[in-house]
Amino acid sequence: MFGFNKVTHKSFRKNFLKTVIFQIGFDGKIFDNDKKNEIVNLFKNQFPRENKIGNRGFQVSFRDSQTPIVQPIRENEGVELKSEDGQKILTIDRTMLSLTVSGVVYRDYYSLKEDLTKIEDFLKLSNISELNRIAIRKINLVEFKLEDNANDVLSALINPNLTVNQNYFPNSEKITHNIHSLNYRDGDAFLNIKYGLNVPPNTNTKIGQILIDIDLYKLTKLESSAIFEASDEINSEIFNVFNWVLSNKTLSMLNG
Amino acid sequence: MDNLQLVETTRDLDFIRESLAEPDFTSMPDVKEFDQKSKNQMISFVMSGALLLSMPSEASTFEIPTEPHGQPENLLSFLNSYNSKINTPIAAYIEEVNSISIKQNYTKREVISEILSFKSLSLNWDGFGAYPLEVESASNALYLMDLIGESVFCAVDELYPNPHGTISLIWYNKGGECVSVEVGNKELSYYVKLSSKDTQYFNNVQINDQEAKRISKFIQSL
Amino acid sequence: MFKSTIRKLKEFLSSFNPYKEKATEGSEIPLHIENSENIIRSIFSPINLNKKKNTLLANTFRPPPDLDEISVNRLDFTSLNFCKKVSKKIEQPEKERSYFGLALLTAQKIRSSNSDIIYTPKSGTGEIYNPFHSDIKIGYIPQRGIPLPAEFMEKVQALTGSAKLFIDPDPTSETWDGEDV
Repeated sequence: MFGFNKVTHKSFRKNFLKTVIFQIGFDGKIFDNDKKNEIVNLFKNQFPRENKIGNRGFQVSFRDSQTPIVQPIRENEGVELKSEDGQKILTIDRTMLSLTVSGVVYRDYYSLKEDLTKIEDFLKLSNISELNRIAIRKINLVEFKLEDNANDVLSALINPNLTVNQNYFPNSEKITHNIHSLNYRDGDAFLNIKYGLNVPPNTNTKIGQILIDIDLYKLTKLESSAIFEASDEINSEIFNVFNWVLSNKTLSMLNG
Repeated sequence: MDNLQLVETTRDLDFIRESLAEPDFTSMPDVKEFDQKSKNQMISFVMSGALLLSMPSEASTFEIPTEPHGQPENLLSFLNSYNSKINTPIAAYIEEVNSISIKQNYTKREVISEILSFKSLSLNWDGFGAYPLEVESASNALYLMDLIGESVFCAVDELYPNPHGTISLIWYNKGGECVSVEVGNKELSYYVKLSSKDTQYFNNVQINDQEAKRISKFIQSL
Repeated sequence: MFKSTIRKLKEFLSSFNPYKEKATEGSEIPLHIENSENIIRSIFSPINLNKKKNTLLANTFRPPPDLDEISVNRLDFTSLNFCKKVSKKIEQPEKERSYFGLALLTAQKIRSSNSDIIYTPKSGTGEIYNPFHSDIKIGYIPQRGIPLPAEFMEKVQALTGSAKLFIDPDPTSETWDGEDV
């Protein structure tokens, strides 16, 4: 899709995933109480907790330039459902369905697809035959105790071709954010890659984080029957990008 | 603005504004054309390099025109555009990353400090005959923090003393769900309120590892 | 709005007679508290407040040890000035209990939280004279060092959630100059 080397997909023994988001978009549908109740019933086995939306204020949706981690929705215009353990959030409104899975419970892409088994029923229920967006975003965070130079950890974990200039930064042990951002576009396919170092503020123990955030989405007309074919392709490319970003050392850590 | 570094450029402000609005790297005159391999791809916007954001007021290096027609109002407009399209989104992104990785309303030190301050309240601290936090209740609360773990415990939203010498700890989310714990001299009570589920009540609970794990799981499910 | 106008008129008239608020043997104040009545609880800083959000903590509506009584006042028969005066009489700024404002809820809200409210005027003998005083009862007497049963914790939380906080813009003054309650 974007020219990254193809890597045969496999599941790593370990992962650093913090959050995985799957999202589809469609033309605006009516969302009334009846519709809401039908949706809640459809997903209630997997997502038994329905969050009250309340008045959280309107947040700007970045769906056209970035996949939001949890899609913001207005009161009475959508529904937010959670799994029993709260680690998966399903958000549905007039124009999109979004599933956010915490890295704590995320096993692999195939288990994500299992979570979405009801999606076809949902599309039928809502008379949606065509999608206008499909996205997957995976945010990885490698946390480590901050002892010496956090920037050195960046150089160790990320592909050296991407961190070749790190020695040039003076007092690199004082760096708190060293984040690189790439945005690709190929027709109606968009890829946002962010990788780098983040030192969060005010934590109990000083920690650093190596961040790898890969967001790939397509703004394209897509038959709802082809949803998983498209998501398979997106997931494969994300895997290629992921392997591209990492150093060999990190890849061997993931293989356990 | 002391750190602002001016760079000579022949590009005018309108061009820069357009570039920021709809970045098209390939249209810049001094950029080589992409080779055949990357013909089908277009890097719309590349922003690499270190972003030193330890002091947000530090200006990053960027280009502004030096021609006479770069008037103050154009400069302000450019800076506003830069801020809204580059600086603010970067800061917002970092905040987003911090919010998904760390939910911490207190540091451990702050929790200990708060608990100790409740212990040192005077008798009748509420005007209606309240006792200060009991020593055993304070010590049990700290023990519970050890058992649950700082990263989960320190996400506590409310922490306060009660008039009869116990301490309350509440974790909640925007959806109105909560875990509310009251720690006493020998035991604790708590309830868990989750959407679409009956509230669960737990009374006369011993403070031990098993119970702490259960409470921790509830907190993490919020 | 009509009630608010009447209250303001009462406050204006009472400013000519410092003793007007002293009801004669409770003749003006019915024993029964109607659901529609407005009830006021004194709020102190920092102890009743979530510092980060300036919202009420649930210890605001906790009874003291060995009693099931949460002291409140019947606003509809008195004034905000009086409620403030009574609050300031029990503040102790040197011990970190400074009068901060007033919390308002209706008797209806109290009863729908499965609690009750009864009229308990203070005669003034050995205690602050307060003919408008009442007590919220949650149905449980807390004991020192023993946590409330979880069901009562939830009840207290519900009471707190029903109350609206009115911050006094000038706690040091003698009169209430804040938002109309």
